[in-house]
This record gives sequence, C-alpha cells and structure tokens, in this order.
Amino acid sequence: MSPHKKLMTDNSGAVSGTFSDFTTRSHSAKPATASAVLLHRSMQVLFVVIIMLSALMLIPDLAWSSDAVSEVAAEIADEVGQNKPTLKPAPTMGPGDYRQIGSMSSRSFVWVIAQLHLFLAAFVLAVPLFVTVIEWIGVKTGDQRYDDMAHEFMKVSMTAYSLTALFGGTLAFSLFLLYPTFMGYMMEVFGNQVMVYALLFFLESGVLYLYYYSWYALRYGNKKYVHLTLGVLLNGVGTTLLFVANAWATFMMAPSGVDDAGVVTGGIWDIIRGPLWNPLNLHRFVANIAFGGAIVGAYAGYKMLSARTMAQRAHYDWMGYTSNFIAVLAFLPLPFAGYWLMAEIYAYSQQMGITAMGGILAWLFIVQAVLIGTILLAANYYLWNGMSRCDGSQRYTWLIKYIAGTLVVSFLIWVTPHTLILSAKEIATLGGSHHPLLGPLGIMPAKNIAVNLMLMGTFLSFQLYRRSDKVITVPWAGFGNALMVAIYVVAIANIIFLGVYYGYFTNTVYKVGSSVAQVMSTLIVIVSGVVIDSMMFKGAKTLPVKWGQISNRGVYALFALPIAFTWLMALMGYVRSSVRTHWHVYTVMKDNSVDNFIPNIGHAGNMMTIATISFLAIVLFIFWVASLGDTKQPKPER
Amino acid sequence: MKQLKNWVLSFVIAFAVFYLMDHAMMSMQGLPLNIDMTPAQ
Repeated sequence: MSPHKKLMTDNSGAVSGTFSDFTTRSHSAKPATASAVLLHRSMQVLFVVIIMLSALMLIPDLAWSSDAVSEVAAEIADEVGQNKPTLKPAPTMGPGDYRQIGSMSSRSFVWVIAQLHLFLAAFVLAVPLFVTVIEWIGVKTGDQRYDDMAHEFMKVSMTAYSLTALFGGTLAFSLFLLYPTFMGYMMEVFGNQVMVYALLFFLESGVLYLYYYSWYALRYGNKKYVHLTLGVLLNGVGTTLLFVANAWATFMMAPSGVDDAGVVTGGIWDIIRGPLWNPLNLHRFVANIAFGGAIVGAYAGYKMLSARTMAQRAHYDWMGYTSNFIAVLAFLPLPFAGYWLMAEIYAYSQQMGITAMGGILAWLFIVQAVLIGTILLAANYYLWNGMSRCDGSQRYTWLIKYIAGTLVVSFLIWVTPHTLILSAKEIATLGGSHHPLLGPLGIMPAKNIAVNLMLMGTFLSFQLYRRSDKVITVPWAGFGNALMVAIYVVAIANIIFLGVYYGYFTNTVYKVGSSVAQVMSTLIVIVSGVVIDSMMFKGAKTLPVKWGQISNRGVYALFALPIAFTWLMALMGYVRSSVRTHWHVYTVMKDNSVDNFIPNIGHAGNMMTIATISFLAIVLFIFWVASLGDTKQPKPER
Repeated sequence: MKQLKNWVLSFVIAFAVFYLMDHAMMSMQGLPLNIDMTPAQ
C-alpha cells in the first residue's frame, strides 16, 4: 500500500510515523525524499503565486482598478447608502479633542499597543497560510510528519490569537478614549465598512477554532479534504481582514474618496482603493509570511536545543529548516514589494517620499540596512551550517567563502551613510561633510547594487543547499548547469553595470529608471533558478540527510531572524506612519495634539525597542504555554 | 567540444535575455537604453 493510501485509510488513530526512527527513516526512506521535493515544489508554487500577484497588482487596469469592478462596487455601495455624500468636512482639532491617561503621552501609549497588536496579528494571519500548504503536502505525500508539524505550528499560533484579540480590543478602546474626534471622523468616512471588519473577525475566530480543534476529528479520507477546505477558508477570511484594516492606514497616508476639506465625495470603494492600498496589501501579506516563518523557526530552535532525545532533536531540526525555508523564500521578494510601495508614495506626494528617504527619517533606512543585513547573514549562516547534514554538500562548500565575502562587502556598502554627523572641526579636517571615499558609497546606486547582490547570494545559498542531497541525472545536466552559471554571471555584470554607469555617469532620471532593471535582473535569477532546478531535479538520485546533526551555533541563527524581523517591522512601521508628519489624515485633517511632530531618532528608537522587547517577551510566554500543553505531571506514588 | 557549445550557447541566451530585459524596462519608462557610454542629457 502506498504511504498516501495508508494515511487516507488508516482509521486506527495511531501515529504511524512517530519520530523514534526519524533519523534512520530520513536516511533512506523514499517518502521523506518525495515529500521534501513536494515541499520545495509547493513553496515554489507559492513563490510564483506571490510574483504573479505582484505583477497583477502592478497592472491597474487588469486588477483592482478595473471599471467593471468599480461599477459593481459602486452599485453595492449605493445599496448600503455609502455613496450618499455626508457633506461634513473633517473637524478642525483643538486641545479639547485629545485626552491623556495621567501624564502619559497618548502617542507613546497607542504606539506600543498598536505595534504589539500588529506583531501578533501578522503572526496569527501568516501561520495558517503556510500551515495549510504543509498540511496539503502531508496529504499528497502520505507522510504524517507533515501533518504533525502543521498541527504543532497551529498550536503555537493559537495562544497568540487570543493575545492578538486582547491587544486589538485595547487598541480600539485607547483610540476612542484618547482620540475621540479623530476616531469619530474615521467612523464617518468608513461607515459600515468597520462592521464588515467586525463580521470578518467573528468569521476568522469561528473558522480558526474549527480548523484547529477539528484537526484530529477530520484527519483521514475525505474528511481531510473538508479540513483542508476549512484551512483555505480561514486564509481567505484572514487575508481579507488584513486588506480591510490596511485601508484605514492607507487612507490616513493618502486619502481618497474625500475632497480637500475631508468631505466624503465617493463611495466606500473609492475610499478603500487609495493609491497606497495595494502596495501595502502586497507588502504586508508577503512580510507576514516571512515574519510568521521566522517566529515558528525560533520555536523549533528553542525546542531543538532543549530536546532530550535524538529523535526530538531531528524532528525540531527539520521543523526549523522548514520554517527558515518559508521565512527566507517569502523575504526574498519583499524588498521589491517595499520598492513598489515607496515608488507609489513618491508618485502620490514627492514631499512625503522625501520626508521618508531624504529627511530625518532617512537615517532610519541605515538602521533598516543593518537589520536586513542581519537577517540575510543569519539566514545564510543557517543554510551553510545546515549543509553539514548531508555529505553531498561537500561539492559546493568551496563556494561559501565567496558568497560570504560578497554578503559582507555588500552589507558594509549598504550601511554606509551618505552624510556623517560631524563636528565643525571634523568637517574642516575632512574638507566637507562627505567622506571622499565613502561619499559615493552612500548614495542609492551603490546600495542598489549591494542589495541585489545580497539577495542573489542568499538565493545561491538556497540553491546549493537544495542541490546538496541530490545527484542530477537528466541528460542535459551540463547545459542546465552552464545556463544557470551564465545567468548568474550576466545578472551580476548587468546589476553592476547599470548601477555604476547610470548611477554615476548619467542624470537622475536614468539612475532611477535603471534600478527597475536591476530589480528585474535579480528576479530573473530567482525565477529561472527555481524553474531550471525543478526541471533538473526530475529523476535525481537523493543522498541521505542526517537531521539533527546541525551544530548548535547554526540553530542560534534561528533566534537572530525573528529578533531582527520584529525590530525591522517596528522600524519601518514607524517610518510608514511618520511620513504623515503633523497630519492625522494627510492634507485633510491636521494633528493639533501636543505630539504633532516627528520625534527625534533616539526617542523613536527607544519606543521601537520597548515594543520589540515586549513582543519577544510575549513570544517566550507563547512558546512556554505551547510546551506546557505537552507536560504531564507523573502520578505521585503513595 | 560539446561542453564548449553548452557554455557559448548559455552565455548567448543569458546576454540576449538581459539585454532585451534592460531595453524593455527602460523603454517602459520612456528612456532609451543608452549604452554608448556618453553622459545622457
């Protein structure tokens, strides 16, 4: 009987594939190999879907802005009375429109609560996305370990779900208490749409509990497909929930459907569909997957380091690898989604773009570079360590030093600031505010080259890892390898040429224009790498993989990832929100509170750090609670 | 000889793909693909 059939027909309820023999099974058993291939294929499909989604959203006439969609939305809006203009302008706020809790800054309070809610929400929306994919892989391969892993991922996110709701409720109360007039205006603008959000939240909760608690009740046969359908439904509702909430944030940044005075002139669809809505939707959707993968990766690392048996260690090593795979694969296209969001911000308001990237907030992009560099270095380090699981990796280890060198040099270029904070004496000594050598490396062309090379280096590490346990047997292997090498070489040359020539020897319009071609070069490498490898792996011989044999040093990288991701989200979320400067709703509703200014970098850094450390403490609590469920007190002997 | 053919063909394909992509990306933005190494105006 095939493993697939076995899973589908075994009604005994016994776990047929426990991990007592995990290590040995992984060495030779075919299902483990087939399922690993399927995992990679599924992730590739997910990756391609993300790319296609991005492409679709980039074509406004084909995607969300089509006339047909607008007409239908307008009809619906008419029916619910949303198209009737209220003719009420946005209120002008005075000191009486704001409240405070004691002497605590309202902005600081809402800042931390909102950030914690967003961290948790990102996590709980992301986990079911890849859990459903992993569960499906379990069904397709008949390998029950996937099913168990998916269930364990969900177990971690269930504790986080309640906390997300608690922080969401606290955030809503805080906003209505501390900013009542502003929230009144937002309710005026969005009207019944907020109730759609509430309805979706009920649905999300219902489907989530159903999905988790029916896991073992709907485990085999056709019932498993009912369970998978619940997973798909859960993700549909969760993603819609995310998009609905995004509309509020993007309305505050780039209001649409209202006139200059804030009078509602359009339907609810016009209000939701602002210029930044889709870029933010894509960016948050992809970022959430990367973030969720990193958090569960840390859980696996924590469990692996505390494992008492080799079988447990092997299981959590495999879980950590899968999590890292998800996190990094989702992370690779993220800079491009961010690039699109930033380009749309510039297109909407150049001043807003310059505030973000040329004013006080520009320094935060240097911090961003440090954090992204940390993520990429940690992810690569984990992969290189992970290659030690398979003897076949020795064919590729000579390349690691070159990738590491490229990553380090690119990282240093990326973190080089354009201007330095110098004293008058230092400026005089230097002969100007720009360092003669580092000045050229501080501008975007150099950083574009660095970022693209780092992403490409990370993808190469991935490719080498994936090839480590395979001996390719297709007759055209020579041509396939040559083509892959040629694509890398020409892409690197193209990125450097575009960056240097258009960046330093032509005018600005070429500099900006060529950066799009640089991004495309990296995407071509990633997509062609995935496609060529998939074709070359057909019929490949697989070599044994020794799960659990990664060094502890490598596992520590799994902790670096979520810490850097969390800090990065706090940082860039702050930048995204701060570009509104002294406006609650940009150019429509002024912020007249005592906090209507961009705080200095030190203060902002402290606030982000408070939110980050608080979240990490919550994550530790979540891990502990998730482990507590498995702990059984032995019966006392009398 | 076959190996040499593989490498030559691979690089020809890669060059063609990236050259056409550069062309497409720049022309979509209304910019010529100026590769004559003279500063663009």
